[in-house]
Amino acid sequence: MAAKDKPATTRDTIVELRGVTKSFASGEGGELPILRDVDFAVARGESVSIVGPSGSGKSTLLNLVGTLDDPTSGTVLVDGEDVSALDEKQRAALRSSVIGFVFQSHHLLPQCTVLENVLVPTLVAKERNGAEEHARQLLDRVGLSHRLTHRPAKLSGGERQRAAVVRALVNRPSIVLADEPTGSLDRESAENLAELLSELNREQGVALILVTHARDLAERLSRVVELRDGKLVEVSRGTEARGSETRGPETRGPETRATR
Amino acid sequence: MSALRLVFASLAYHARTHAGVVLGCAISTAVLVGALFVGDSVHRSLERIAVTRLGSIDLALETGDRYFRFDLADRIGEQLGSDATVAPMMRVEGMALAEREGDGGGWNQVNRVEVLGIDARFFELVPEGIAAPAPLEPGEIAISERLAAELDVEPGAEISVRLRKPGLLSEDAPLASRDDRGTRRERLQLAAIVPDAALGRFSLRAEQVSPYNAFVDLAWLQETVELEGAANRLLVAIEGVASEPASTAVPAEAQAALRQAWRLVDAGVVVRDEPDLGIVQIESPRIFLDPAVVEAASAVGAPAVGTVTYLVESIIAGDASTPYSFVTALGASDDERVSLVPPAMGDDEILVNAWLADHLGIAAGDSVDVEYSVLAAGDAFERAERTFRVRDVIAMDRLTGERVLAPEFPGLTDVDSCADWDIGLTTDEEALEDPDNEAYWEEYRETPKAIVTLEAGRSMWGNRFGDQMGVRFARTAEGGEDGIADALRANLDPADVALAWRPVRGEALRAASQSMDLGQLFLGMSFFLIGASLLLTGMLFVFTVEQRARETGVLLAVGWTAGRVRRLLLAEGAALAVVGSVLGVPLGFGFAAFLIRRLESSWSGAIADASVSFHADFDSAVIGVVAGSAVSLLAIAVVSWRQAKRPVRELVAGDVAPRLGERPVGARRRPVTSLAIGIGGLALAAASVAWTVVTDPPSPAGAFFGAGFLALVGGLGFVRHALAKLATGAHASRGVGALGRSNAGRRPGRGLATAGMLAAGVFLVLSVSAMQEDLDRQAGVRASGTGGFELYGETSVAVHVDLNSEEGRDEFRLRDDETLADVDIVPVRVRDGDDASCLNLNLSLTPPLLGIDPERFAELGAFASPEEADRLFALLEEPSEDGIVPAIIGDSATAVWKLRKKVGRHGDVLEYVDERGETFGVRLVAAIPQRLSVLQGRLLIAERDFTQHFPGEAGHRLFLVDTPPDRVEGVRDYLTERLDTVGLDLVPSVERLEQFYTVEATYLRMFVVLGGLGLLLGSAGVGVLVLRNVMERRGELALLRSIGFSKERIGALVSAELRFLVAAGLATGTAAAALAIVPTWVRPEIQIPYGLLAAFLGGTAALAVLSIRLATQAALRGRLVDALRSE
Repeated sequence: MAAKDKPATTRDTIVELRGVTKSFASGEGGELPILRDVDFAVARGESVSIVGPSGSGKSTLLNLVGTLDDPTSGTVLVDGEDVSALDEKQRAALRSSVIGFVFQSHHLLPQCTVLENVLVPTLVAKERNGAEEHARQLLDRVGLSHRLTHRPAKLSGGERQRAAVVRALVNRPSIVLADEPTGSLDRESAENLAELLSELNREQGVALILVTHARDLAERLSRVVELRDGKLVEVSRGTEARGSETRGPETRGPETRATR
Repeated sequence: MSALRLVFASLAYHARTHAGVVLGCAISTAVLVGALFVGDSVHRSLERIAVTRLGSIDLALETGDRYFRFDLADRIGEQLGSDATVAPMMRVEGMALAEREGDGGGWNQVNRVEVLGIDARFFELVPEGIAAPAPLEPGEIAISERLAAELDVEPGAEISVRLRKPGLLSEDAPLASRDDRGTRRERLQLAAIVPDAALGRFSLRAEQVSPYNAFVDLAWLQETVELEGAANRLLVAIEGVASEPASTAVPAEAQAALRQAWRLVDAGVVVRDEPDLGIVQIESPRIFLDPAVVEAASAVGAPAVGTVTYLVESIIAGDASTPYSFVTALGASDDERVSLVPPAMGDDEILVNAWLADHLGIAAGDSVDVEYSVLAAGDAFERAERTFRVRDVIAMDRLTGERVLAPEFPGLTDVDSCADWDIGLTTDEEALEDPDNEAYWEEYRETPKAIVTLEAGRSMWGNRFGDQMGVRFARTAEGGEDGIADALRANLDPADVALAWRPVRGEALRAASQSMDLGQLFLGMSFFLIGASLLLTGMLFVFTVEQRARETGVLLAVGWTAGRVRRLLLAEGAALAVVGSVLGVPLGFGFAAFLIRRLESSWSGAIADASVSFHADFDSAVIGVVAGSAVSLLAIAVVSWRQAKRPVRELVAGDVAPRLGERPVGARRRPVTSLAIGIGGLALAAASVAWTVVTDPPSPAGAFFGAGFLALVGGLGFVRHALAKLATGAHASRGVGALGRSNAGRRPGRGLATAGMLAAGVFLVLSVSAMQEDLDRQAGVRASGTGGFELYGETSVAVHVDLNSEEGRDEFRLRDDETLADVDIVPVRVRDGDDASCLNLNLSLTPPLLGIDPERFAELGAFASPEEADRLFALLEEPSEDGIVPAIIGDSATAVWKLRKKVGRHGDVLEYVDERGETFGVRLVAAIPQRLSVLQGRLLIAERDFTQHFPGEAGHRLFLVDTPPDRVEGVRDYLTERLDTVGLDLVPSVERLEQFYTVEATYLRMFVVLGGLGLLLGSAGVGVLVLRNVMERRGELALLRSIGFSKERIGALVSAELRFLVAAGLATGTAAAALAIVPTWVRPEIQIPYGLLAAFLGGTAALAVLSIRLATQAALRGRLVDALRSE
């Protein structure tokens, strides 16, 4: 999409949802709303955690941001691009260059080594020069340099998730979307992973949206929002909050909206 | 890291699950490759037979009933040099008999034996490296292995050969002698049994069936049949020609050698020099001159006069008359030496000799009537009469030359008394003994009593054998015989007088290479097997892909496009397809070996008992691998495409199986469509049946098969609808079985594929199994393949008399009027060719021609309904443009499968060479409207056209016999016994139909077996489906286990689903098949093997259930609860 056609948004905003509603077909033939008129923005480098009970729509929200799903109404902007206006190829390109995913389960390819797994996203990246070197550095950073040639089956749960995190970062994305990344880990591994994500957020300047049930993990991030009855409510600003100037639109006044 | 590395890593990691896919691809390829190898084997075997039957022979010159001098072989040999072997041969058809050893005694007789007169040169044509039999001495015989087996003889035995003496003049020709022909029986000593490889199965016909060959010394045969120095075949091997085996061109050196070496006498042309008369006359021992010879003679340069002489019944003037007189027709000339007919003489004028003028008391200006018999259609002679005005009376001494120059009619001009004449006409004995005429014969012999113009003579006596017997030239001082002979020879192309090479090796190899493609046949018959293996391949691959749904989802999530993911899966699939296909080649060898073993045993009927040895072409393996890979990849591509179409979030969640009770995608819409398909399919099927019943087409089987197919589609529509209903209903309250059945609806596509595959397999196999015919029901039915004739017979030697006439029955001592009461024998002329019936696998370039009387066939209403027969046989009598002869193909199957030619008013034209060496066209205007007929593989043409082109094919060799049904056996035995001198083989028509039907019946058996194999594979597919379903729902089943379901209960739950699908498939297929075979219920000639079909259905169901049980046990093995933990 040409720059002049891009919807107006602040340069520092990496993700913005405007009046987003998402419904699913119910078993009885009706519509079941999950998200209702949600406005939400994440600044570049910001870390936001989304909490809420099961079925509240956290993952749905993440899927919308990750261009894996379309809203029933409203607009999702990622890196200034209106996702709904993109075709499948453009979405794939956006995911490749702007977004990194960390899933609850590591979803590493069992047939590939750790290094190969990390390099899978680079196979479709525009710029592949130095990809392997970058992957090695990141793996070294997360303490997996001795596991490069190991297959996922040989790793511990924590190691697998760390490899998955590196895979999410290898294409130098602007934002990492993590869906319950510690959900399948023991407490210690979960602590370590949370620490790692926070550090990477700071070091790499990558925005982070993390969906979690764990309050303590959520509060490590700069901002915590909760999904209640399909609406986003800001709960708190985390202990490690940075860049208060990049608060999300739902906390801004009407004047912010007027700039759109 | 590269995409390729990812492909290899995936292949290695998922090797176990991929093994099934590889196996599926291997099976598809094995079937493809196996079928192609069978095609190769048949082609190569036929080529081997072709090479075996020809030895080193490259070219042949075959003149049939015309004979050339056997030293033409020497003359051509001299021209060709030492690189060539040229062997003369005389071929005569006959019978062989050998005394039976043992208690009963009697004789073993084999009809339609090829009696081949050869000299030492023939066995020089045996290929190098094979021991050639020793040359034969007079009185010795050597026979082929097949004939030896039939006669049950060993070398040293005495063998009798019965053969009919061929004549130079066709026995059908007017004034041709008949009595001196007869058959001769000669006793010979069996010197050797000639192995097939040593030219024992020598034949110039493109047929795989070994002929009954009897080799005798050429000189002995020439002497026996009183044709000294004659031969009717030349066989040539030229070194170097064999290196271009497929060439159907005649080498230039052979053409040149023939042009150089042939003489007029080889074409049956004699140049008679009569210096005393000052005449050179061109004539022929065959009496009539070929039109080409007459034309060439007229172009010699010197003034030429044509002549024709005839024996007229009587010349009448008022009350006076004279019987049996020669009358000569002459072209006009001023030169009295050449012709007494002056240029001014009219065609209604006649010159009478002084004896006649005196005998009848006539003078110039009087009128005389000439009565004569002419040859009409069907070889009958018709009496005709013409009135002439006497122009002049010729003194007897002026006719001396005419007596000298008169043609020599065997049996007429060479007997002492008129009473001894044998002229092939019904003669008036009293008139023959007329004393005045006898006195004339004593004194003047064949001196003509009268002379008419050539035009008058030709118009009266011209017939299919020709209309001129001589061409005369005035002898000049410098030009005697040689001058005329040289000029005539220069004007003639040897091919114009039937002296032409046939590139027999090239033709034979072409016929073998373009023979019936059994490879394609097996491919066609194995389509269900291939389909089932592809379905299995696809199912296994999608099984693998679905298990890796998360992997697909992750790739999509990290930025891979759906297209790229598909390509990755396809690359994996391609590698599996290629590996599987390559592994399929050795399996294909096995499959081909299995098929060939069957073809050599229980399926031998499909190839008419030909011997087939295994042969595999590298090309076929490559084609098989490429095709196998391609179709497997296609199956894989279809499932991969569907997989990458799923939403990423579902894939990442591994959410590929619908939850219990969840409505399948599109379930809201599809039931309506499925119901519409169901109702539409059944409605169309019902409409098709109604239409068939109302219009009552002659062959309703096709319409009912179509209706059955529609019913199958409709039935599957209902199955799909039922699956959708099952998916949405609440069934758990109705027990485990109901809950299991409801699961069938969760994957409606998969369920439908299973039910559909079984239904289609059952439909095809059941409907084909029911296509059994009881040919006995066709006996005596006119509008059937028997034509209503109870008996069908062929003779080795042509019969020249009408077997329905008193004269004919007398000739063969058929005096038992009681046995022959109401017996009607319909004779048919035969010109041999390459059999185009299903019993010959080779390509038939020129099928045998049958000359029939169209009117008689139409009157009888043979082979068709009365109206249809009228219309059909009338086509043969329609005047043709450009001399193209209309022909009817002997049955509809030959038209479609064997000749593969267009049939109809503008049908294809086949090229034939007639007896005189002229090419003529035969247009396929229609086919007998019976799928099988006793005339299969032959072309029917009007007798008129037949005799026009093959005047030398005298008499009839094929007989269709109408008998009262209760006397069939008696008539058969009686006629066979009485006509043993002509080698009559008489069989019930139904038996002949059965010979042909064996091929079709074997095809059906093959189809059922291959279809059955496909169904077996399909049953295995059901097992795979069980595994997939269970693996997909392990968590769900684990939950059931955790709440107290036993493994057995869970097994019952899973198998209930599949049992429903199997039952639905079998029921739909059976119902559709029942509809397809409705015509067989009302057609009495068809018998349905209900027991076999029931066993087949039961077997299929049992196999499917067993497969389900085994797969369920395998899938539920292990700790199911682990799955719950992972959930």
